[in-house]
Amino acid sequence: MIIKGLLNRSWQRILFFVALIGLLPLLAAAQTVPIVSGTVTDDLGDPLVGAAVILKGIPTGTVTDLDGAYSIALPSGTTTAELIFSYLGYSSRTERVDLSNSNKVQLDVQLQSDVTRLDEVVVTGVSSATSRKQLGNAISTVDAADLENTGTGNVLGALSGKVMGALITQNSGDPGGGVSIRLRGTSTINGSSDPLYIVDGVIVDNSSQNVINLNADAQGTGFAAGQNRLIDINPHDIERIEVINGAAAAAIYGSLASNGVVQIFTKKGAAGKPQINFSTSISVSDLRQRLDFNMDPMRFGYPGSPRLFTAGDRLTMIADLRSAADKAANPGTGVSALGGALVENQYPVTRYDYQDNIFQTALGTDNYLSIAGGTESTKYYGSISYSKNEGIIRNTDFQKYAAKLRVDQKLSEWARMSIGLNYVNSSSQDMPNGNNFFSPISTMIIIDNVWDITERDEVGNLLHVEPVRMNPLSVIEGFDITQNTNRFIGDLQFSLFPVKGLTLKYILGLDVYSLRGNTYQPRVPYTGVSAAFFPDGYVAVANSNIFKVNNDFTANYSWDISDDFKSTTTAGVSIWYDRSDFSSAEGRDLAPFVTTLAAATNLFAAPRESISEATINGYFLQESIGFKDFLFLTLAGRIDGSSRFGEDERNQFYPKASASLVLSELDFWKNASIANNWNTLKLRFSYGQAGNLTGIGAFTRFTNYATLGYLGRSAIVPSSSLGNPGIRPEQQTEIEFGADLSFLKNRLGLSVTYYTQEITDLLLDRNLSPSSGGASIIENIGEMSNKGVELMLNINPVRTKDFNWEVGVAYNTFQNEVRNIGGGRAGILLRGGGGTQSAIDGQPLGVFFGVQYARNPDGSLLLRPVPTADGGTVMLPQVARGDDVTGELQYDADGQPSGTPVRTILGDPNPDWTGSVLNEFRYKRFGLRVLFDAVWGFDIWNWNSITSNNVGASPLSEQELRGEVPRGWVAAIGGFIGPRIQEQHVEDGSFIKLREIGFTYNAGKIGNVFSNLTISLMGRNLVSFDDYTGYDPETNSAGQSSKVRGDDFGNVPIPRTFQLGLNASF
Amino acid sequence: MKIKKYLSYLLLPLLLLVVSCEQDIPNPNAATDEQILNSTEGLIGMINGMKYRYTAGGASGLYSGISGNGLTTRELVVLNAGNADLAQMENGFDNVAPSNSVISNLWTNLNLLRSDAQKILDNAPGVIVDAGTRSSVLAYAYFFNALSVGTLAQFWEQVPLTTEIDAKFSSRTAALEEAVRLLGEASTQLNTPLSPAVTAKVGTDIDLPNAVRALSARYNLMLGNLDAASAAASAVDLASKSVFKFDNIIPNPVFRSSLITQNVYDVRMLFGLSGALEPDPADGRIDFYLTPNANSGKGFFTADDASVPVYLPGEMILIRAEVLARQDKVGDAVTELNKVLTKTDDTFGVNAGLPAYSGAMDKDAVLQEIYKNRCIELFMSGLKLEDSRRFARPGPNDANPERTRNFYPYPTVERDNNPDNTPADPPV
Repeated sequence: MIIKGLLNRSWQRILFFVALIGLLPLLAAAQTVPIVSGTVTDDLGDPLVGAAVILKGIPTGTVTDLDGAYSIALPSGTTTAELIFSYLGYSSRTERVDLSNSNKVQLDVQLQSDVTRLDEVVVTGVSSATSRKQLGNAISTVDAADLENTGTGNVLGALSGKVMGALITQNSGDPGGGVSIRLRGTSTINGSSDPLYIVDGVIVDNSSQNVINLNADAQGTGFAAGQNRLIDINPHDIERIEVINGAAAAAIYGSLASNGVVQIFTKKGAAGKPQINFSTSISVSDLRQRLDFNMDPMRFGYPGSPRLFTAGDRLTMIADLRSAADKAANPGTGVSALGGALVENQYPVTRYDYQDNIFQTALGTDNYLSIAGGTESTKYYGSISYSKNEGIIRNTDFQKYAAKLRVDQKLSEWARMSIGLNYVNSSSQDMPNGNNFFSPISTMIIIDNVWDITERDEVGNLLHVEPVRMNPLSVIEGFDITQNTNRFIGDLQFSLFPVKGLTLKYILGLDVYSLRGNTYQPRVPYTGVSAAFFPDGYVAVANSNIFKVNNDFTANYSWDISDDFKSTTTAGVSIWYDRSDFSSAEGRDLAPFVTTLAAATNLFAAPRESISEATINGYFLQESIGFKDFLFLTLAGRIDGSSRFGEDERNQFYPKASASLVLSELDFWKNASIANNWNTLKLRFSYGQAGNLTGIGAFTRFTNYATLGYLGRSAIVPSSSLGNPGIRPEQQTEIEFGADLSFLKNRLGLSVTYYTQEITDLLLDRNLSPSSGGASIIENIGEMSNKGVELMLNINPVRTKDFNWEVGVAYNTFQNEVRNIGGGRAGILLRGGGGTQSAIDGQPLGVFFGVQYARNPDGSLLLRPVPTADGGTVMLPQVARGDDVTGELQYDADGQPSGTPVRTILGDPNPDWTGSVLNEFRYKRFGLRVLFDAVWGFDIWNWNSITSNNVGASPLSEQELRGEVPRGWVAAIGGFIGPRIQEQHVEDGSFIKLREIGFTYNAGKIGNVFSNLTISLMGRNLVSFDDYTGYDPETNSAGQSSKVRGDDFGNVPIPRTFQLGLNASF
Repeated sequence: MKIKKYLSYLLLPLLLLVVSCEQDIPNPNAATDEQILNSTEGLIGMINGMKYRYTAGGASGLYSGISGNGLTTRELVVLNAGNADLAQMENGFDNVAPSNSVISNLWTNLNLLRSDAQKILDNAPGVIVDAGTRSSVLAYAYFFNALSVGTLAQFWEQVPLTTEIDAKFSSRTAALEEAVRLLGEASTQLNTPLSPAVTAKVGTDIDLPNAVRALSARYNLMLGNLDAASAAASAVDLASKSVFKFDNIIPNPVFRSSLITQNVYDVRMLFGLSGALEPDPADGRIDFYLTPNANSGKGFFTADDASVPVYLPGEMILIRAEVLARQDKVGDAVTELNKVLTKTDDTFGVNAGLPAYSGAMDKDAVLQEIYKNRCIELFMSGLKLEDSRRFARPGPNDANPERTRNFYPYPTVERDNNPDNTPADPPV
């Protein structure tokens, strides 16, 4: 193909170029050059390690060593120079040096700590390095120190509680479990709500590929469960993360940016002798909270067979499925099948708590070795790591090998290049995801807990449990499900400084991986299991290959219009290309011994292959004007075109405008007495637009006709989903304004932001009237908005040489609303499989829309009489009824509900607010860090309680057995006497978690071996304060899905983890 | 100058990439409407596509029709009320919401089937050059178009007859008349024998000439065109077989989605018939339809690759019997009825193997016996709701109802997107 050919050709060019560079004699000519050296210390006099020292105007710089010392060589002939000293968390300082008298000058500098970090230099959203002071938008930065010793190997999980305006949810407790980040809420229904991730200039893939649950409906209901591929990024390698939250800041990323941007910078080498760093840790994880099960030693019904294996031994809590013969023997106790009067009789049983058979105490280890160093012209950083973590579900784990190399090479005074190579091999041993009835937790919850699941026959085979269902141990012990990812992320960067003020930069980014999933489910040794669970065995292989390349060229020109006015102009071209292909094959009815596809005798699903290919071309221009250190204005615009868009929609324009006003830089402020205590006041405003194209498939613009094998012939079937030749990306318009303030010598900093996002052209998979010849079409209809406040408070209450105490408080509110998507009162149902998450006009996305209890005016349940087996009646709960179109509740003459079941909004999975409180104490060599994380005001749909009630294993079932609620109560709620009362299963999920607690002891330099040694002991997710009756309200069986949130169905709970770590530098 | 050199190297690959960024990428995974509708091969492939549309999967017209009809007329029983939409169908009456997936699937897939047929009918005349190929393709398209419209008319009071945005609805009588007309068109096309070029690609699982006659008999009977129904039924070769075939990949949907799971629905004891309709315990069809095999499969739903008949020979005989009975030719009607009662050589193995009819020789009694035999002989064929209405059996508003709906409400997907034309829902 043309593209491929040209790409290949351009590849050759690049390779040729790289080879050429290698042959160029590197600049090495030694001559006498002026040198400035000294030490950089903090306001307490301690040396600052790694502080940056940069020569203003020329891209030359260095960093301080372990003693805070630096030495910088200046171009020969330099007489005066300005050096900028900066260090994260400190105000930067610019010092003028005079070299006219001496070639060697000593300059010691002390930096003042600053909790507001206004001098911090950031690049995300502005394309060229800019101090935070100049930004019109909020930006969060997270340093390496905040990502170490967090107890998780997942970088996104480690960000929990550390990013302004972010809702970070670990969706699964699997060791490689998915984590989703929503910046300022959800901004799409059909697409992905996760931000754009950039690692060292490479646009990296963070998708959730399903390669191991092909036989389950785990992904068929709007789900994106399983691992998300940012798991491949190693937190140890990260130097810094910058996060911008929405379109106002991210407009220059165009059609990928409306969910915000997370830019990750990995570590680089510094000039000096090689530094070797080794860290290792071991961790122990286990189930934080157990579920309560029914422990009453009785069961309703009459045992049908000794090991309870007749149809009548099923579901005795809610139904009477006994055989006719059984009924003849015990007459008068109800009708067969569902909906009739229930058996009152009870018989003794042994009850079990299967959790001991499912869960384990999991061990983990994480090892990392890096070496960094270099000369002024060549710097390198290399690392290699290995980690392995067992899951708290038996026979699950996740392990990762990673290697990284970064080489920065100075080619001349005005040319530099950098190459980064990352290789990762991630592999995992998995179990089926939630949302089907053969995941480990679902198998445990969907059977009554009266079967001994550990019992075996004489040859060692496990025995049946409740007919139709799987023995949980058959899953745990038998299933062999693995994933393996080989991933390469590489970048090549050139920076040229041809004339003063002009910077040209080119980045080639590559993200390539292949992910293979293998599933083997052996034949089940007992009968009676539903064919839907593959009792005849199942085997599958699936491959997903992703190839992404981004080319970004930017030209940046800075010049001083006058002494007071400074201008920076940036122009850029981005050419992004991605290709993915997916293939799979499945079989069932397995031959013995063999565990690959070769075992399958029934190839019941045709092999699949699907290729997706898309491009984006973008062009942007940005102009920033600075007036003194006081007013900064930025205007920018980007034009985007993607092959995904309709042919006439390939010129999307995204404008941006922002302003920053630093009032405290004005002379009147500086001279006023207020300046002593109120050090900084910055006002900022930002407006921007950005798009989201993830809801558009590579070929959504076409009406596709599928060709498929049909009984050995070819069938052509028009897709019921029609093509949309005018499809375009979702547009987000965001306005944010805020202020940054600091007080008490920058010991107290406050940052406040208010934002409002309007998303138009929302992409929806809209139903069509079938009579029109299609069932659905993806269209740009509907709108959504997000509003909220972000507040961040940083305090440094105590700051002495021996004792330091820092407090960080974050508080974010969220308010989401969907508009004009139609569908009436019920809106659009987002989750299949009987779920109720819906998009409804005027409501937040994904509210639970279902039927409620019928209630009396005083709020108590309005019960109804239901006939019992002995001819009496029992009063049971029921659903509210009336007119479901209008929502009006109606009653008959007896005061009982009449009409159809009326649905209402039962809950909202979106939190009202999130917050965190981080306390960090350092006393001499001891450190203590405590992070509390709160997510408040959201609801969870507890599927597990529905199933465990109905099978009789739940505490509510226990109450019914004990007569604490009337017989039939569970059946009435569960939908077996009247419609299911869905309200029962919506629970408040609000929680406060002790997310991290960690002790560190820094032994410092030990002999000549260790230049530094740190020991840490930390705990993660140790305590949760919540009222949820399930395992953990921080969960989502729909994984990283944008639209289905707050879903708890057989999902693995997040464990609590203890980690003991050691970090040594040599 | 070195700068220029660096710059040129820097810009060169970039320029190449700018040129290379193609934005009109074709879809390698699927063909487009333009490609298919303008090629003979594509149009022939769409014949198999129509079979696939009608029969494949748990959302297909075939599955939804059998399931909906079976639950409404008490042929079937839901095993796990967790299957909420099926449970709604079983509970019937106003529990059947317009959003119910069983009826939405039935409506959607039958409408799409009509749309598929319409596309072929619109394009084949101008695209297919060979006359024999063209008439064969058109015959299949007319047949499936008729099947779609006729089946819709069994479940809804009003039906759209053409595929268009804001489609208008016509009465079910008009729909059945349209189905009969379309079958007439098919029959006309079949005056030219089916082209081997077409049958080689679509198979002969459906004996099209006989299937066209059989459906014509069925819909004429529903219309009350008794003579036409009888004539068409008599013209069907009872030894001929027309089936929808399945295999492991496209499995028999009733078997795969329901019966084998033992957790969705199952057949009711004695076909759900009681009282005067209760079957004779010696009836061979009890064993055929109600006794499970090792995989819990029953009737025509015993395995993934079990074929489902398009129509049964017994239906044709019973049509003749019914026509005769309605024309007050009770004796002749009983003669036809006895063919079914005493049958032991059915092409599909549906053999009652009973003695001849010995009941009262009055019209009502014979019609009731014909109805009973339709219930048994045509068990799980999707026809019972129509039969129950035609034979005026106790409906949802009567005591001891034998069906829990007369017609289905119009699915939400239709009403929401075609609000001006979608008729009011029937009360039951």
